[in-house]
This record gives sequence, C-alpha cells and structure tokens, in this order.
Amino acid sequence: MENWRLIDLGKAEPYKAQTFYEAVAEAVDRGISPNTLILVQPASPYACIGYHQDLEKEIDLEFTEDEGLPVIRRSQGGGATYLDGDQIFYQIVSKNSAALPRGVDRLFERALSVTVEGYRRLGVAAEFKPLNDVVVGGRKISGNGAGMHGSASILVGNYIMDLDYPKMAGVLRVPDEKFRDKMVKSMEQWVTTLKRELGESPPPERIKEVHTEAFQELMGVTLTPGEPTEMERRIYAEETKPRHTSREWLYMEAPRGRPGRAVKIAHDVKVVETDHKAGKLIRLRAEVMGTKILDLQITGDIFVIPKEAVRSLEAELMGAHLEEEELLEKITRFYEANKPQSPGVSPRDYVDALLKLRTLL
Amino acid sequence: MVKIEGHEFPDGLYYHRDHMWVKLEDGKARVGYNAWAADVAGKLVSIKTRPAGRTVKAGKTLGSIESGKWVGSLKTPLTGTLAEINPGLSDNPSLINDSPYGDGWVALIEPENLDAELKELIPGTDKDALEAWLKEEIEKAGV
Repeated sequence: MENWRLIDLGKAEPYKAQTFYEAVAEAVDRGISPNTLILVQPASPYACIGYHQDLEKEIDLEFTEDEGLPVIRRSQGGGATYLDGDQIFYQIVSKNSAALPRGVDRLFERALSVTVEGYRRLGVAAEFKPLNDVVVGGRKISGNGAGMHGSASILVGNYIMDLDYPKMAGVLRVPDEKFRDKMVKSMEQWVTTLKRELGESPPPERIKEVHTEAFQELMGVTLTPGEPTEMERRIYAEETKPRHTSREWLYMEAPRGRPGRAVKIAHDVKVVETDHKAGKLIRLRAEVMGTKILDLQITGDIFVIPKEAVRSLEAELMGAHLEEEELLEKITRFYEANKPQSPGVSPRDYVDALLKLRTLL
Repeated sequence: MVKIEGHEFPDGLYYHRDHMWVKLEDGKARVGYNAWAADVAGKLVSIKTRPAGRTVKAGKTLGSIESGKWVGSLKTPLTGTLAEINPGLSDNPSLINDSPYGDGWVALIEPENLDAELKELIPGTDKDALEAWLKEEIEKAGV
C-alpha cells in the first residue's frame, strides 16, 4: 500500500490556502517530498480566477477593492469564483502513483469518487457527474480543477459548507446589474451547499475526517499526518508566493476569446450574453443548460409591433436548443402565426444571433 | 501512417516525448500536439502560447492548454524562433482535438539546432520505438 503524507494547514490566509500546494508540487516534482493530501480552510475571503482567464474581463475590480478582497490567479483552469472560510479545500499532489491515473478523465473520476463518498458519509446523496463535477439532485456541490506541475499531478477541490451567493456574483464583471441578478438566481438554483442540504453544515473537523477516511479506503493508500518541510516553506516564500503576488502573473495576458460574456454557473449551466448586428442590434441574454435554452431575454435596438411579440418569442424559444434547424423552424413558424412587424430584423437574424450565443458555450 | 492504440501517428513526422509532433517544411518546422495526447487531455477550451518572434528552447514551455478545468503544458520540441502561431486556435482550441495533424497545428518554428535535436525525436517511421514510448505513456496515464 502506498504511504502518503497528510498535511492539515487548518485556517490559512488566502495566498497560502490557494497556492501552498504548488510549493509542495515543486518539491514532489524534484523527488524530495512524498505524495501528499493537503486539507485547508481559507481564513478570509478572496476572489480567484482560472489560469487562462483575463483578469479585467472576468473580475469586478471595483467590487473586490471596495470589499477588500485579494484577487488570486490559480494555476488550474476553470472560471472566476469567490472563496471563503465556508469551504474546505482538498489538494492532491502526486507523482508516479498507482492510486491516481494521469489521464484527465480518469483522474477526475478517481479523485472525485472520494468527494462523493465523503458527502454521502455526511448525509448528502452526492453523485459524480462527468467530466469533473459532484452534484446533488443535479445541483453542483463541489468545485474541482487539475493540472500538472512538472511531473507532479495536481487536483484541487472543495466541500461547500455554505455560500454567499451575492458575493459570488458580486466579484464577477457583468455587462449590467440585471445580468448579475440573473446570475445570482441561476447560482441559487444550480449550486448547493451542505447547509442547504442538511439544514446545518457539519463542522470542518468532521468533513476533514470523512474525507481522510474515504481517501484512504478508495485510493488504497495510507495517510500519515505530517508537516510541510523546510524546503517546501522556502519554495513557497521564495518562489510560489512572489509569483502569485506579482502584477505580471495576476494581469497575465489571456487567450483572446470570443466577444460576449459567458459565466459558468454549474456543470453545463451558463449565463451568456452576446450582441448581434443585423439591420438593428439584437442583444441576447440567456441561461442555458448544454445547448438548451432555460431562459431568454431579447433586447437591443429592435423595434417590434406589437411590442409584446418579443416576450412571446422569448417564451416560444424556452426549451429550444441552439441548433440552426430547430431555431429557424420555431422562429419562422412564430412569425407566420403572429405576423409581428420588426423592421430591419428577420427570423434569420434571430437565428444568427442565437447561434452566436452558442459559440460562447 | 502508424496506428497505435487507435490513434494515428503519421510517418512523415517526428515525435517529441512531451507529445509535440514536428513536420519539416523547407528548413522550418511546423509543430503540434499528437492525437493520443489530445484525446487524453479532452476537448480543449483554451490555449495560450508564447507570441511569434519569441525564441524558445527545446523541452521548455511553448504554451498552456486547458480542457474542462485541467491545465497542461505544451513543451517545445525544438530550439529556435517562433515564426508563426496558428491564428485559428485562439477562437477554436478544439481544432487540436479535431485535426491534430492538420488545421490544429500549433506553431511554425525557425529551428537553430535542427540536426542535433532531430536525433532526440522519434521518427514516425520507427513503429517499434513509437509503440514502446506510447505504451509507457499509457501506463503513466492509467487509461
């Protein structure tokens, strides 16, 4: 059976909670530290962006400044998020371990089987949802990401004891406050917590206990409590933290991306917005699951008679998929049945605008 | 064309152990990510590379890729200058999954040390060496 180290960092200030594992990964990569599971709880809140994200595009820097929130860019992918002491992080750092495959799909499935089991032992009917989600009744209850640090494999994730939904939406840059309201509602619907599921969250120590037990059983490893080494502390102080606090890292140029705004709420649920220039500007804002429209608002410079026709068209498209044939058929049929007048905007223009939304998914 | 574990490895290319392929084109080298590695990474949603004009060193980072919240590195197979980065990838990183040896190429390099560094790569015509290397990678990946 493999012997791994277990480090419990307790409550740690944001940079340490979010990035100390990278110092451990550097040491594991160099072959001077054992495979390690870290458990940690942020001592105070912060905003966190994914490795490939554009800071100024994703984060409302005015909000984070007003709230006194540090903003940290992690080395894993995924989207921007708000994190605080109501989450327990697990951070897995390994090299050449039979317990954890390196292939991405299998890595997530294997590692998250522990999170699923942990939640079940806490009384929550969690399930694994490929690629890398843990859900309860379809609602997300854990965030996870992975990556490589040299030859060391990293997987990080969390148990969510409670969530400040307005703050979660507050840290994200949005086109307007209605988009933010939409996001809050979507988050409340699609992201859940231990407190919501059980009425009250189990205490942090109990969560760490079940995770540690499940990890040993399901990974087939022995976890021996230990402390960070002197070298790891030095790597953190001299390399990891300076990198993460540098302006160069935080404001790192991101891949260009498509115009428009897309915020992932949970697994395949997103709130998206795009503009499409037809004869008039069509602005679409939607909540989608996969390619299925859950909710849609059509605005812009369009002028439609009767004006109620826009709301009727929105209702008509609820449940539709962002597929050209289906959209053209529904919108054409709507126009034939209702005969709205929309100077400068045709059914085809709406289809093109909706297909543009799809490119953001 | 060599096919290993269901994945194609065109025999006109050279293969770097960090999963980049190399195609020689009139003194330059077009590079990309091999089909097996692209499959294991999953559908790519983001890619970031060093810009054209930058010098790169064999074995060092050319850029990073992301799929479903996993971030991995692209390592440069050759030392030289980045002459061109595939402009189609920034809007559509999954071209690497769809067409790893065609439209999903990553960069064009003006190599400095081609003869010596080519010897470190596995030729696409050497099926035995390719299979042995990939077998090792498959074991590490646990797939």
